[in-house]
Amino acid sequence: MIYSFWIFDRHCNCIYNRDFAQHKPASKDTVNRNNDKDEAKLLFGAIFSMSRLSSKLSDGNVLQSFRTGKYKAHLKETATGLRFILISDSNVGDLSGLLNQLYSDLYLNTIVKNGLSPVDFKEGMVIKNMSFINGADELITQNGDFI
Amino acid sequence: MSRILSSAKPIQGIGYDPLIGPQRVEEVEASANNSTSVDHVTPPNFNYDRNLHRMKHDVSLSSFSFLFCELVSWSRERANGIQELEKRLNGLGYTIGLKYLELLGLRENYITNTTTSKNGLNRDIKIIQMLEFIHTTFWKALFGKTADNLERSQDNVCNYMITDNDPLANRYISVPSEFQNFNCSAFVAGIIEGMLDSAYFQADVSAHTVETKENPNRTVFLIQFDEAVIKREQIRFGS
Amino acid sequence: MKVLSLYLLNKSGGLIYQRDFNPESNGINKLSSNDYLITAGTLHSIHAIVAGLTPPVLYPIQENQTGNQNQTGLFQVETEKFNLFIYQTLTGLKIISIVQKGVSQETATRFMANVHSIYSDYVMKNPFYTLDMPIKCQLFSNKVLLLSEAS
Repeated sequence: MIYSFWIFDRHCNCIYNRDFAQHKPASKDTVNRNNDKDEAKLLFGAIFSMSRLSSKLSDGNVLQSFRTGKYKAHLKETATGLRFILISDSNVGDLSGLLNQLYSDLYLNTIVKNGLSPVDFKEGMVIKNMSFINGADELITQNGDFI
Repeated sequence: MSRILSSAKPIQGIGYDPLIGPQRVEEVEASANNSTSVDHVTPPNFNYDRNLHRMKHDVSLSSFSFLFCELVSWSRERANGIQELEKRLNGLGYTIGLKYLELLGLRENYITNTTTSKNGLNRDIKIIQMLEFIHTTFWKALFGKTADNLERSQDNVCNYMITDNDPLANRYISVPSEFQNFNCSAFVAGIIEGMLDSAYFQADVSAHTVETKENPNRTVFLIQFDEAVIKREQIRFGS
Repeated sequence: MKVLSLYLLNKSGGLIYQRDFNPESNGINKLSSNDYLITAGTLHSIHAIVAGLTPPVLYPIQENQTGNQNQTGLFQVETEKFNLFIYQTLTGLKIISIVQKGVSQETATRFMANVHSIYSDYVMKNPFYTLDMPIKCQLFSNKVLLLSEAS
């Protein structure tokens, strides 16, 4: 069960958020609703501190996921400072393959190679690209762990 | 050394109940007559009524450790230094040792009387007999094992040493470096001193840590008998 | 050597015990004592923050019988080079262990439960130890070392 999908850019802003848990099936309303909420800031802060801690404990260490009793967060950090986060059920296995797909197949092709989307997201700008949103939905809902 | 009761409900007619006080004889007999059968015996609820000859009298090591831990902390607050702390622990053990010899003798008597037809435990008069008694019976009753070594000092005729490789009281205690020479088994040393004193072998007992590789907690109890005791021994039995 | 490091935190998040087992050969950096204190405080806070991020969970979690009271807070961190597990006791003590990648959750939890048992023996029953203070008991360190070599 995958609960939500977040993307943070290198300016620490949440540029994309998709919630799969509130309504099933996910409707158009649940895109980018939580971008400015405290939840986004807490999540970013936790991930930021944790990755700093892991690299301090062991050089060049990359944070891959963290888990609590109730949920598991998988993350991928790219070289440009983008952070992709998937929040799923606690017993889900490794979702790094899905995250890599989301980045390399989807994000690169629809956002980066897109001449009309901004190079650097300013304050308050979010991803509204329909092909990205639809593509992300498709990839996530068709993953074996999404129920 | 014996289990402490947590609840005590007085039962009429059985034993002396301090809450009620002395009862008239008729009442006691009447209630005894009222009991229906011999099998229906109400269980004794007071320490006074408990059988002293209980075979199993174990206390959990954790309970004892926590209690002992608090004992040491309490003494530490009131003492002004290592020597005084040792004296305090020794004093606490002393009062126990005075009474424990009596109880131990009674229990041993009961055991030997039920198993063999011997007369039971005699009173020890020789020093070496008393030390053997401590080395085996006393240690077994308290710690479940005999002490590891009993020897007489070469330099001083008055000094004897009992060694324990892993004293139970010290098992969970790590002494910090400021208290280098301090051994919490001063408490056990006090018990030994009390026992020796009540058996008329006046002595000073102290506990010293002697580490070895396998047994970092190895403790030696140094027993220094008074001159008078040694002289008495020599006069009576020849040395 | 499967266990790389061990941290013990008291209920307010202060570091009371820290130990690395063979640090250099395992890729774990040796930090200054101040850094360890900061790490401990960070982990304590993250443990709490992450509990507040819980999504509306649609499936119930399994019962745990391991003695680990850590239900909603941060439980495990996976990185490229090591895994980090957090075990919480009923009194709020947190036992944090950093283990190599191949070690399973059950092994790590068993190790931390044993550390808890050693703690309750050799630290709690020590009259020279004040609660929530850094642990300086020699016997505790020895037993932890033996345990890490046995696992």
